[in-house]
Amino acid sequence: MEPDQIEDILARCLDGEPADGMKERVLSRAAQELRAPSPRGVWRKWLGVGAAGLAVVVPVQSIRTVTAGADLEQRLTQLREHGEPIALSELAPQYIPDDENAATYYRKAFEKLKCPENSTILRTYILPETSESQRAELGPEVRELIRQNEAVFPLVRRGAEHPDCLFIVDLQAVSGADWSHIFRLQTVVGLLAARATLEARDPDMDSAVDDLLTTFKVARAADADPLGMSFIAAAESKIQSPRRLAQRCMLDITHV
Amino acid sequence: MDVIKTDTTGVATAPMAGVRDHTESGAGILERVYNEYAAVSFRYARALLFSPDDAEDAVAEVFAKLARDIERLERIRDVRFYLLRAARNAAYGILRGRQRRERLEQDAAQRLSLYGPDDFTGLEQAVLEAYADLPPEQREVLALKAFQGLTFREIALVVGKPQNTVSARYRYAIERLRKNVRNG
Repeated sequence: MEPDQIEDILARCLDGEPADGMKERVLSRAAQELRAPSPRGVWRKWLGVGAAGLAVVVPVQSIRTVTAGADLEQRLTQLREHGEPIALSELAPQYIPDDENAATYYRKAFEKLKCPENSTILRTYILPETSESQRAELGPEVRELIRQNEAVFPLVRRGAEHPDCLFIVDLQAVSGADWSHIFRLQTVVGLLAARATLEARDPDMDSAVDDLLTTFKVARAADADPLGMSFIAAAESKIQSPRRLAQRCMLDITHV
Repeated sequence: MDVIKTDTTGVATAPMAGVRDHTESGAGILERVYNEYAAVSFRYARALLFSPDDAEDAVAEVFAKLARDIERLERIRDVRFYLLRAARNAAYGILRGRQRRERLEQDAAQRLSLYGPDDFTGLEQAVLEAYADLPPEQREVLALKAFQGLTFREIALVVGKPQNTVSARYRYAIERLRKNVRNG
């Protein structure tokens, strides 16, 4: 059999017409699709809309992110150049071994303190506006306070030999955080300044200068503690800055 | 069917420019497309499926799909090829479903019996049975060549295979059909 003959037979035998009513059935079903798009069609449409939206949003957002990232990096660089801490690791105080930490000795000194915090006698005695007669009147009480706290001074002096001073404060405790070292440092500075004043009056200027230098070092230790200083600044009306006390003390000694 | 033209590649085309009228309703457009091309799609689907009912289902699926996106007609370069391809996809979908249902391929005589009442001569019956025994891939090439009058290039477009593959399938189909008729 030739291919043409086979094709003729197939064309003749397979060439059937659609059944009666097929047109109505097919078009009726198609018309339903015309009236109501299938959920799949709607889903595809919204998928297309979503994809188009993403195609716009993703590149724009990427560009914005890159631009913002570059801007942020530039600002961070500027801050870093100004010496500002920009990472938690930079903000966190550096670890200081106990035997190199002045605070270790100051805390031991605090345990020996026998002086009321924020002592009125000490403050009045070292303030430059206090008259000579008042100072003379307060002298015995101040000497007695200093005598009672003799054990404090060697520890403070040892602490002052260390430039690094870090008091560990549990900042997580927030309102419960222990800031008592600020007040106690203030008391120690007051004692030192008062003793320097007395020594200058005696006159034992070498001891006075030694105590005054120790006073500065202790005051600087408190001053170098940014958290402590911010605390002091917040309570400026109630708490005397150790440095200010020392400055006034120095003025007093100079005056004498 | 007499509106088929030929494009620069030599492939017959039936552009929709004259079919799609913007003032016409969707139902009207579908009816005109049906009148023009449904019989072609039906015969092709039937040559693959044998069953007239299944072929009608395939055509119905094609027109439902067209109705879901009636605007697509604007973008279809050749409606005849589009409908043949769509009918082929629908027919293969039905074939797959049928095979899943029945698990086993029916034999040629059973398949041919789906076609309807026979009043064929002995030779015609032998050719049809041999045709029904061919794999669907060879069957469709033979059907498109025999009663749709398509060239191998056009058949390749419909079935989505290279022209060489299509002509090879045709050759294998003829050889197998001859052998089966001779043996039968």
